Amino acid sequence: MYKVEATGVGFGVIGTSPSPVAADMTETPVEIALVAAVRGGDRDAFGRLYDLYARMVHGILLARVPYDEVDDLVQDVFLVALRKIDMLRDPSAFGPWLAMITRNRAMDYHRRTRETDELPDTLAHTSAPHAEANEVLALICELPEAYREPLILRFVEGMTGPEIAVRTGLAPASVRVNIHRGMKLLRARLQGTGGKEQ
Amino acid sequence: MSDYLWDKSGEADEEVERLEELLGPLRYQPRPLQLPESFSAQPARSKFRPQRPFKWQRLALAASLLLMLLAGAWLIRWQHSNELRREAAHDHVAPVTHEQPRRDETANTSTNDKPVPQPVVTPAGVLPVDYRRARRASVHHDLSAPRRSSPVPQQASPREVQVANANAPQELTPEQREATEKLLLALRIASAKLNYAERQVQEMSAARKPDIR
Repeated sequence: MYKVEATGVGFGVIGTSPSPVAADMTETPVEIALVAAVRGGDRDAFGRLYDLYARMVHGILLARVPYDEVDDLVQDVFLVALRKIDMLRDPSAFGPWLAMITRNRAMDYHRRTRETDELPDTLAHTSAPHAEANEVLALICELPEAYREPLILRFVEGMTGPEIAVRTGLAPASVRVNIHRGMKLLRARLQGTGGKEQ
Repeated sequence: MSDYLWDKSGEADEEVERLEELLGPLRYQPRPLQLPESFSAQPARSKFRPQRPFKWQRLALAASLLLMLLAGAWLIRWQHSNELRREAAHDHVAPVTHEQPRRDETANTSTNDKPVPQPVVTPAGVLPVDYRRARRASVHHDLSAPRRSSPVPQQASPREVQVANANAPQELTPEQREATEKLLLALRIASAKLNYAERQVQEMSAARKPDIR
């Protein structure tokens, strides 16, 4: 059996504040071992991967689909990943691969919903308990797509910039640029000045 | 721009902190992952892995079918080329005459169905009939009939068509046709007279024989 090291376990525990320095590249070997274990039929290993990546999947979905639908779609994404995990060529690229599945699943959701019903203009659901949070989330969802995803991962999911880069497979520099530019636009909109992208 | 926005290090930005607190409740709430019951340790491997041997078997089956088709096509082509080669060899021995002689034109005293060779008329006189050539031609006529055992449909080879065109009678003008008919009539009369004379000679010789004895 595969022995999974306990590095980075704290990222999977929601509600704890992760250490800023903890989000480094030491995750990758763990992912390789976990993916290999899942391929060998280890159910617990997939639970570990779920704990590690559930926030990322939740954040990516929250940037694209209504809040009420996100939790069910997170489950769907992981089931799809489990079904297709043998197609993953590079186990160290599990995060980017899962992010791609998540984005595709969000697109599928919109395609199927468009056939049956019209979507509301804002992706944030109005019946959510936190009205002010939903308003801010709606503002973020109006930003360009490149800024939307890192800002939600940063503010909603509480991930740091380096952690976002590692999980999604994006370059740290571009994540940094997108977070700062998105924050600038969001500030302008929160102050009511509009803040159009130049 | 502070580093706090990037990696939460350094002095905290008030606005960033406020956004974190505000949006924090929308954060992912841990839920147990509901895996399907069919996912277990060992059977999962056979379920999720593609069955490569089966794919190879299908490929091998398709390849063998293709080979059989190619071999069949080659065999048919080889038989066909053999037939053509054999016919070409026959053409080399004797040319093909596709046209049957017409009964009325070949007035014949014989009652046989087989065409009887006619004497050839030249300005120098009447040539004797070449029975060998006629026999060879009739034999070849029998060979050119469609064979029952051959699966390939009989078709005239280019060589046959060329020979047949060379042997085909040219178009005659009405004057030439009339002259030919007159010549044939004269030949028939001459033939009848010769036959009559021959019969007379035979009768005379038969009448003399008892006298000799």
